[in-house]
Amino acid sequence: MNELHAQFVIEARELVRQATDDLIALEQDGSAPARIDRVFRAFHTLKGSAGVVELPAMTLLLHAAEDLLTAVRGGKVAVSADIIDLSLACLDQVSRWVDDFDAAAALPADAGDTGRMLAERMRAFLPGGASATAPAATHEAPVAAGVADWVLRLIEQARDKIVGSPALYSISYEPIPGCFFNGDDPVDLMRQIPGLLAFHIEPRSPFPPLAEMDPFACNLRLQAIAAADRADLAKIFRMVPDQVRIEPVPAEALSAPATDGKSDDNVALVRAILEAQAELLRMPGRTEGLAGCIGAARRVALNALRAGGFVQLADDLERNAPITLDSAGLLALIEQAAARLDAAAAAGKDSGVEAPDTATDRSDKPAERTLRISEDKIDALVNLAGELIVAKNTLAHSVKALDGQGGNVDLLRRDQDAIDRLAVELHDNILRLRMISVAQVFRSFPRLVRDVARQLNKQVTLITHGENTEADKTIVDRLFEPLVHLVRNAVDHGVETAEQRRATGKPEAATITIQASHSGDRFLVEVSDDGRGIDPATVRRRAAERQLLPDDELAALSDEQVIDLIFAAGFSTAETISDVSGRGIGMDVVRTAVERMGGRVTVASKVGAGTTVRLDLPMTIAMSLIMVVEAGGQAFGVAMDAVSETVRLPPDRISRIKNNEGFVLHDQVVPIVSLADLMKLPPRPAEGVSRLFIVAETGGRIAAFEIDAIRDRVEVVLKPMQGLLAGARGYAGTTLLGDGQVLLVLDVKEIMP
Amino acid sequence: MAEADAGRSHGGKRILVVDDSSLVRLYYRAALEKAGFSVEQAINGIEGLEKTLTQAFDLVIVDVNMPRMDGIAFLRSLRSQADIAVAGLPALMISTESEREDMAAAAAAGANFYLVKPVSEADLVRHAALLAGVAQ
Repeated sequence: MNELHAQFVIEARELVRQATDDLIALEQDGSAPARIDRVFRAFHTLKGSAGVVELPAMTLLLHAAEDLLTAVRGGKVAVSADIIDLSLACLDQVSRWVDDFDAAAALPADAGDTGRMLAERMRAFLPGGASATAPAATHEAPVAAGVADWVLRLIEQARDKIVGSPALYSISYEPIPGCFFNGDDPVDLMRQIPGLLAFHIEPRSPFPPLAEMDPFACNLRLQAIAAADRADLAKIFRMVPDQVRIEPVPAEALSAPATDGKSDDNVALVRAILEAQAELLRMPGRTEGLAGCIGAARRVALNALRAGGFVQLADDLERNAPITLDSAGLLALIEQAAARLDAAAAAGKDSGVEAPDTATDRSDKPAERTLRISEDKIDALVNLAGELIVAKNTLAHSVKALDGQGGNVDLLRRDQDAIDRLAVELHDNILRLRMISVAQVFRSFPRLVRDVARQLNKQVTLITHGENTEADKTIVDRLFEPLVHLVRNAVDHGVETAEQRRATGKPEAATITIQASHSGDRFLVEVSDDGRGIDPATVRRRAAERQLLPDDELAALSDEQVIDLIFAAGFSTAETISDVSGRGIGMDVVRTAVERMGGRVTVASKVGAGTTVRLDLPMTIAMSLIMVVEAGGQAFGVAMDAVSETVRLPPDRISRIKNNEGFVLHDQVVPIVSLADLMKLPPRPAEGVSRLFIVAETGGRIAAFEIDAIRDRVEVVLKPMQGLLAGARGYAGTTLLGDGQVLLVLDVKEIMP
Repeated sequence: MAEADAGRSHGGKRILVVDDSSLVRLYYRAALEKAGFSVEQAINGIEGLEKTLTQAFDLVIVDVNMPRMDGIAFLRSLRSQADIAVAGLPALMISTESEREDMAAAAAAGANFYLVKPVSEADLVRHAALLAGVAQ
């Protein structure tokens, strides 16, 4: 069984189970609209799925059920025990078929008849009875849709008989396997078609060997085109409306002169696409989304022309239709291109005729007062300034060395100070060139919030503060994705519906605030809502279910700490089979994105009062302040922002707990980790004197790393690990020290016990 | 026809499939990936909107009937985005609905093209290629 079939079986079983539960609940507690909606949706999805794996009997049955539920949902038919019974019977049948399909990759031979009988019983509940709502047969076909290959083939066969451009219909009739027993005579029905122009019969699936063939099961597909009246055609097939599709043949399918199959299909399709764009632009009364529609129509017209091989026509259109062109102007140009399609196709596609310039050139904008500089140039400057900082550090190293040899370095030191200051200032200024405001990121949110809220029947007021706050372009760009996620989550899960809010005495409209600000050299972005808040008990339960932590550790966490678990990888479920069975919110994605920028994310929430997620980001990602420490005779860098303090302690302050050492600092037990041990380096011989630690705190955990010495504090350009070490855990990157030594910089978060 | 397309590079064009049925998504993805597209998925309009805002695509294929945010609301919102690169994303709507009103509603919401389910693999790939601008 292939992947598609396996997936179908899993999904169908889940949907049947869920719809069954909902139907039973519906019977018990009355017709709650949300419940009916869920049942409807389950049937609808099942129907679509049955179509994908090509089970016509199941599709037919579910279609009838869906129609009935549509009527129930729309209040046209009242829910009754009979309807629920019948719907459950329908689900039972589907469930049996799914089992059959799972076992034999096919439905039993009688499936068509069974489905039809049940479908008729369902249709009997509909106002107007069975015949009035029989599916599909009289539906208008999509004009914009491409014309099926078989229709084009039949048109070619009948080309001599087609005079002018009559209204043609295509008829595709797939009798059910048991049709002969119903007294149907498919070929005779086809023979009755008035104005029949061309006719084709083929097997639906390859015929089995003669010995295994069931001569009483119909395996035919009958196709025809006819110049006839739709009503007459519908009358002929009135007994089998579920097995036939009658669709008008679009006029352009007639005009397409077919010489060699596929490429001419493509010409027809390019034309159909251009016409659909024209139709899109002709839609009256559009106010919202006009620019988007014009932009999309333009892009699609260019895409279709280029992809169809009409490069010259595409170039003409692109030149004459600036993106700022209005709807009518673009419409005229697209119609023009469509009209020239045939000529271009006949002339070998690419020799398009010179197009008249109809649009005015709008390039004569007033010159801007700002200088536009490419990002590459600025990045080159950033790198140069970074190297200058390294050179400056080298100079400091040299001065220190000279000083140690007893030379007089006063003058040199003064020059060094000046160069230090200039280099740092230069670097800062260059980095500022890359600073942009968050305004452009914030711009997308009012619309997102409004549309999502409206969809979910919620009222939400969005407030933004600090649009002019600036940060490095890379940070601002990367900020967008986690922020979209957070804002969407706030609307989707954070705030309640208006009714729920009213019931708890809150104003009906919820408020979501996005705020950007600077704090020192940090760039802070907060997303807060006044919604339902995160319930620590729920988080605790879910964390336990997913076994994110051992039970005792989980129990030891405070409510505030527990809430942070929403950021843990694995807290959110992976995508489940459908929306109805629930879905995680993916906060670990936010955390990963933020940490990749060198930031931190925290959450504060109060049940019933709301949630605030805070992103604490660097303003630039080019420079980091690190501490150079020594352990086991080697130097390592540690990012300063992870170090909360350094302490030197006498041996009697250190206590041993089983195999571990620790000490008490500010009323807190801090476990000791030997950095030399961690790095598999020989420990320094114990001297019996005081010991030196850097205390690091991250993600609510604390540890003291024992080191031999602190060498320096430097501002460096951190380069990511490359080559063989690219994936190594525990390292934040490397940097060049003043003396030319490559320093490994540790990622304290990763090596935290 | 789809087999003939196998292995042909479609220039890594990216398509977002928005459909609540995992089965439909799987079907589209398999067909489109075989034809050389790279495919991202979303399970409803809200998730689709989020993805179109944060990632670049050459085409979005969207269902009509979906929970939470349906295809029509999704398209309306998409077309109204401030960023024209997002708002002008080509959109192919594929639905089981075949009534004229349904198609008119799709066009009014900003769908560039409309197909009625079921759609064959070959038709899906052919339409996607032209709408996303892949040379045939």
